[in-house]
Amino acid sequence: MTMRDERQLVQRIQTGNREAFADLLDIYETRVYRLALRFTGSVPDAEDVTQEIFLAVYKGLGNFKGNSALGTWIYRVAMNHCLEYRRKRRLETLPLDEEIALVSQDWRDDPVQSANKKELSAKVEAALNSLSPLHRDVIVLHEFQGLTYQEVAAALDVPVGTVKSRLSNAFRRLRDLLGGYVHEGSPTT
Amino acid sequence: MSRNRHDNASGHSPSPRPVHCIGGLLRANLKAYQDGETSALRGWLVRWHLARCPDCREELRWLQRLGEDMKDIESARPRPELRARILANLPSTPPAPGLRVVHARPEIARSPRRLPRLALASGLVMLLAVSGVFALTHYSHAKPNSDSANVVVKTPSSLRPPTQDTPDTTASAVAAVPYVPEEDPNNARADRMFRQSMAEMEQEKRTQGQDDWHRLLTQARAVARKSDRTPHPEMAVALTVSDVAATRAHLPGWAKRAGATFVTNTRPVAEDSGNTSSPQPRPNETQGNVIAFSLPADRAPAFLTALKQLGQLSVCPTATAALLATSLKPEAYHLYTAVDALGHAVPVSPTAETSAKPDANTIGTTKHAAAVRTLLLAIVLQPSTH
Repeated sequence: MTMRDERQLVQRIQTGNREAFADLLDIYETRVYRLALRFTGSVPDAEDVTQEIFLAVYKGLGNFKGNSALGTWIYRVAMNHCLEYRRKRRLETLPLDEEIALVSQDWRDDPVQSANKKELSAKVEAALNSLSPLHRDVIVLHEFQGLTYQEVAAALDVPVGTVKSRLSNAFRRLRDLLGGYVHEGSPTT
Repeated sequence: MSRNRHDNASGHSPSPRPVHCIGGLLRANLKAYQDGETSALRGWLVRWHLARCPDCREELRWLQRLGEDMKDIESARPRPELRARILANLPSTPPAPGLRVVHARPEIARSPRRLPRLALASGLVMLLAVSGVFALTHYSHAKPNSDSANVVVKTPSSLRPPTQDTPDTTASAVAAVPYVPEEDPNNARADRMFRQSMAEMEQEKRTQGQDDWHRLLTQARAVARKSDRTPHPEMAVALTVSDVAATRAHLPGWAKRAGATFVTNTRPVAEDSGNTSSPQPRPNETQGNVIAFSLPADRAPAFLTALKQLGQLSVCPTATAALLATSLKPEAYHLYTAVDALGHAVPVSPTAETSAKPDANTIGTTKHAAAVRTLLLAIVLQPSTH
């Protein structure tokens, strides 16, 4: 979506056009939901948090001036809600693997691939769970959500250099935890 | 990392780490390089290093594979009801200007004082980038390295739609990396640029280490003040031992018998040195590589002498730099005094006078320290290289 399209979309929402907001949901709902699911670890909570985030986005769009990209701004709102959720729940480790296993239903066309995928996912999820929340956050935003370092920095309100060092340290830790698991067993190699 | 060298899929036998791997500084840039998030000069330096270092090539392949696997993991989709629920619960009024977003933070404000520094930094980066481009064009005749042919480098991506199945990698490969032969007379220039960039990265690492130290000391002060309102002069030393784990396990008990009290500790600095916020202190645990003790000042000389029996006691430059760089100048003065006096085992010198007036936040001026009876000592455990 170009900046111009974004501006038009925001202007339509600001005039009260609900279809325009539905268009925005088309683009961001899945991403925001996945982010919320990462933080909450449960589908009902993720749905609640996603709803809260989009409500805040809707209310905040009245003041959105377009100084940053719409996606970056939405991620910042989303991250603030997710971090607030974590703070309230005071969860040090989230039961991600159980919930993600429930909702991940792709890869079922090929039983072997599905089994490999499940095993791989379980290992990676377990390794992710053992990371510190700060390390996990940058991985979720960069690797899972596909944000650039600049966008992750904006979402977390930290310098880009911090994102870079956190990611580097997080992957170094993952390498310690996972070792050489991805060499032959990975379905992508 | 050395542990994973044995997992090397490319079949390389473990070899001595090349000189350009020192400190793992370039290795720390591999992730950013893979993501296409390095500057032109640093990217060139990483490629230059990759052409010579099989370990780092393997590391880069591993990063790429894990990144691919991670992308495949994320497949959760919201139920259709959620969308309807969100739309149904929107306010009936349009989002008018003036409403505040819950939890949204303001745009990141840049202090006007930062602008000259930013301009200077930008100028420096431009200069380095031009040098990098010059070097790249200069070495364009070089041969590609066949060992790195399978490594794919990602370009910076913007938001990736979750429904897209196409990978975000591009065809730009490390195979295109120029290999700089050792005998190339222009190598001297490349080496110069390499050293320059290494110095920059060393500086970054020091700055991040300072943040860690600042955090540890802040936590240590807070803990110490809870139990004792007496100001604490501070000192930090590095203790190099052959077995960090064993020393870490026994040090608190041993220190207790020597009259010191365990205060707090942080996560191993060596593992998380690049992380500016991860090493959160964990009170009442003794697993970190940096351990803070409080002890009577008059016992400090004997304590330091005894520490020397456990390993090699030395100045901790990171801690010194951290304190000197922070606003905690009075403590920094004391730390400096302590380090200077390490050989003499005199942690605090009451003879030097300073004009700084002690208050609740500036503990430990020299004059004030004369009345101080307790010392806060941070010991960083580090493994000996042999």
